[in-house]
Amino acid sequence: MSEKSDATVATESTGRTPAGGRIRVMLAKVGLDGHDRGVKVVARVLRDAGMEVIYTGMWQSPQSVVRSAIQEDVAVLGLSFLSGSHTALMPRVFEELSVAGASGEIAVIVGGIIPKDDYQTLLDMGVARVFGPGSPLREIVDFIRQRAGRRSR
Amino acid sequence: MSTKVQGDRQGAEPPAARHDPTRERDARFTTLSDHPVQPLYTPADLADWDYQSKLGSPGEYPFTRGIHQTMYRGRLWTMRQFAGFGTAEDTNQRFKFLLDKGQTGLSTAFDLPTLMGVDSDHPMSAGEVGRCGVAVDSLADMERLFDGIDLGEVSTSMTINAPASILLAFYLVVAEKQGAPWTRVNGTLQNDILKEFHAQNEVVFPPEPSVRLIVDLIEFCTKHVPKYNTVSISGYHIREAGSTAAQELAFTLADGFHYVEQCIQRGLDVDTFAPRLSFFWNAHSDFFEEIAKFRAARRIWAREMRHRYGARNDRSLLLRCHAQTAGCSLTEQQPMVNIVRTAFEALSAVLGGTQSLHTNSMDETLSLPTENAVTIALRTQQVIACETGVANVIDPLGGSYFVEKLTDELEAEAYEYFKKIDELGGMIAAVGAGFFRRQIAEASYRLSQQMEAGQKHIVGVSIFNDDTHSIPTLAIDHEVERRQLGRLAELKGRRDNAKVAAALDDLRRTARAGGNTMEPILAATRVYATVGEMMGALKDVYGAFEGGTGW
Amino acid sequence: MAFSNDDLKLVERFKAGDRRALARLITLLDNHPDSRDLLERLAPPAPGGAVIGITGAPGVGKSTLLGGLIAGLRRRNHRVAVLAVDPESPITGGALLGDRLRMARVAAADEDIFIRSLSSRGVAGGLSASVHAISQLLLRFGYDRVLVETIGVGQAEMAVLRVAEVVVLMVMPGTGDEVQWEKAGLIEVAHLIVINKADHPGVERLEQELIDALSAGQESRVPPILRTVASRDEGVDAVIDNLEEIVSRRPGLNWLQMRTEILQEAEMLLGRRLRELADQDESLDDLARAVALGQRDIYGATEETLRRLLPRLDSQDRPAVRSVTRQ
Repeated sequence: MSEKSDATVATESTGRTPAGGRIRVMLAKVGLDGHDRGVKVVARVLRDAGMEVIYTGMWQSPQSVVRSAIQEDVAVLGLSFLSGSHTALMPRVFEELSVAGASGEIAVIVGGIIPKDDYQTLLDMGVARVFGPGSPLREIVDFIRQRAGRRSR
Repeated sequence: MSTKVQGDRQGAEPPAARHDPTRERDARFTTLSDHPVQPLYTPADLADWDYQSKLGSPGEYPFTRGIHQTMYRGRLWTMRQFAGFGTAEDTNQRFKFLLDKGQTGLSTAFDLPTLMGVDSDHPMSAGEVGRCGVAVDSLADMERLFDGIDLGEVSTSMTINAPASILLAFYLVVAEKQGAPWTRVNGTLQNDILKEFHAQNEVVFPPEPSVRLIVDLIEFCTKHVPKYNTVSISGYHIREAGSTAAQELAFTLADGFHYVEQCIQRGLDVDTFAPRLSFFWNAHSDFFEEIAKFRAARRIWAREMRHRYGARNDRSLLLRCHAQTAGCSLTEQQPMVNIVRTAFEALSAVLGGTQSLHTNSMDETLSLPTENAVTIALRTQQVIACETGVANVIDPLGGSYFVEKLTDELEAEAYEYFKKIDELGGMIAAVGAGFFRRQIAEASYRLSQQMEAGQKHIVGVSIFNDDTHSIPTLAIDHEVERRQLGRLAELKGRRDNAKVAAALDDLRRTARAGGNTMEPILAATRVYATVGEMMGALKDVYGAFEGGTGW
Repeated sequence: MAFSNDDLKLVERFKAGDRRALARLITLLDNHPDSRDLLERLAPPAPGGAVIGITGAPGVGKSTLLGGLIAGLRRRNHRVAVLAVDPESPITGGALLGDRLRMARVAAADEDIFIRSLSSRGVAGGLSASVHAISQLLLRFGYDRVLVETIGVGQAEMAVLRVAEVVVLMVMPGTGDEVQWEKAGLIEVAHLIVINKADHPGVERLEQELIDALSAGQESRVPPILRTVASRDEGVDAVIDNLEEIVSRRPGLNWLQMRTEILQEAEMLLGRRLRELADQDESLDDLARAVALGQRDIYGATEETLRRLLPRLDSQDRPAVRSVTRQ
């Protein structure tokens, strides 16, 4: 796919990509952790920003999330962790993306309770951005718009 | 806000009429739950209010002022701190240390795989074994956990829900092997599956059979383990998931009523099991709203138990409760400020008349608490008990125009919710329709919108967030998982697998026939069937609950 | 329409069996109704494929039953695709899609299951047309059972069901939704009625009510009524048996009906193209003002507009927003 570097940024006020489609985002909970308060708020905020949000629900495996993200053709995949399992599970998410040949096609963001010490590890793995507790929701919306804008369609 | 206007209330002109709303600072004058509050409360707010029917004396119906006559002048609340460590041995060491220090109550946290009823070797368990609590796969782990601890002497609280009957069976078989009679076994199970459906999501089976398992357990304990507190009906997690105070109050009580109804339907006399039910509340940051919530809860429970469920024993009317400060109110930013938050929250629980209290450590949002952080949290309670003087007087806020009015309003709001649940066809239908999850998600979304709009603030995050400081956190050891997996594999090779299969078949048969599942679970426990195997057998019969996003 | 090189590369990858290309092309079809002739570039689907609509009120257990159907159809060696249609927010246009969780776990390890969520947004050209085109794409990829899930209320959702050759209506006891389906006409569209949560009280009464309602209709056609407890996978196999039976008996396509549908599609595309041209046409604004002032009459103005725009209908100039990807 043409991942254009000279990105045209999506119109600020809409949930649309430059190509005229709506921005599609997948939010997921991987593993056994069932804390979904935050991810549900984010889902609604993105919806209200005009995006199409696919929430996988809880108890997903890295494989199921990556498969779903590809089938749903999302620009951004957001994962929420509150039990500390991100260090064990995120490498497996990237492994699955790479097996599927989709590395770099989907921007991966992480939210939830992530110790500051783990931020760099996650970024090195390929996470585009970590949103810790108290992140302004506006920032998440803007970031996703900007990343989705880099996609051709 | 309309509530700023003091209408034509009865009696003399209330002082509030002189209040000029145009001179108020620009702020949203509502509770954390967005319940509007007036600038001033006066006798006019309690115009038809009757002391005897609304409050009564402490230890007397309707128990608004507290369940005991003497309250904290007789005995302080129990300071109970919840703890769990990687392997059974680590936790066992910790238990023995606490017992040596004179503590008589133990509290157990289990890891996520145990809470979800899967074994440590399940693919979904990877990365979770022993992380947020102790990993228990079979009786063998429970034997290690309580090795050298007399289960006839200590009281153990176990935070477990979907697989509660299995963990209780493990505990009872350990007691049995020690020679401790079940009539002496004492402790508390959380065992409240409804709030899992509403909020915390640690569910395995669909709602109906999930509740049936709880009734099985209550029925069994009423006959065989009479000192055991069978259910800790919990609002804590409902609130953590973002509900309002009124929702926490209403949904939790409604859960309690549902359990009571199901037990009565099973043929149990309400007075045989109701005294063993207890409650678990959140103590959040809106001070007076929380106090009012505790008080309203006692009044509603007593009234409904007496009038709707025909309880005759006074002990069935008492809403005994544990409280924990709000984990969700803590912030990662400027974590020391969490100590202050927790102190105020703890104070509200005490002024609300709680029987026991857990204070969160300042580093809870960052990791498992360090020893230093746990100590400060405990000291916070001790300061309240020993220095502030609030424990000297029973229900010291009783009679406050504001607190009484707010108590009445929360009570009325709770009854509105009870009505809605009835209209939806009762508890199970309302769960099925996603009512609770949707209500909670709505409330949580509203609050986040108010935060985003700057109408509500969090110090150090949305306001006064200029300086940052950090505290040391506890690192987590991955070795635990490897060791636990080795043990489980070894167990599965060592035990008599034919007996395990037969016991699991028996469990399936009983569940299918609608019989009480406790006996076959105990039998499977004795031959070392695992949590995951027993849950799997029950899943074959009950089906799996596969969630629902419940917007 | 004219396709970009990127689009054509996707088509090649699609033909080679690349699921990511399939996913991208679905997005293209969903966003751009005039790209639907893309299907012509792909080999027609193998015979025997079917599009099955599944509808019912929220909470009736659609996703759970779908999970069971997916597993059952896979056991019978079908390749299964699911299109889950959810409503969009009328205010922001955004949408919370899919309750993928109940289906996704079945699907996690199996490439022969493909699940896609769509929002019932007001795309020009209509949701049902979009769903139809995407179903055809999935059939061409080799998914021979395409399950379309939608809640059974609203015009758009009803129209979606017409895309399906077989329609399953899900109901459950104790909700009192009966009146609603009758009003919606759903009950008459259904080829199969499934009473889910059949372990709940009131099943017999519900079944009788259904039979009464159906018998009262003019055609007096009572489709099979089956009972399931989808959460325990009870009765799901019988649903599949019935579905397969209905699929095998369905009549071939009728050319007269196809003629109507071609015209409908052409009408839609023409209308859309016309509006696109009109958006760039300043003389239309002038004409409109003249009509508003009473200087012109609406019929003359219409005739003049058509004369001006019709010759340009076939030209290649595209609205600016699309130039990012189109050539």
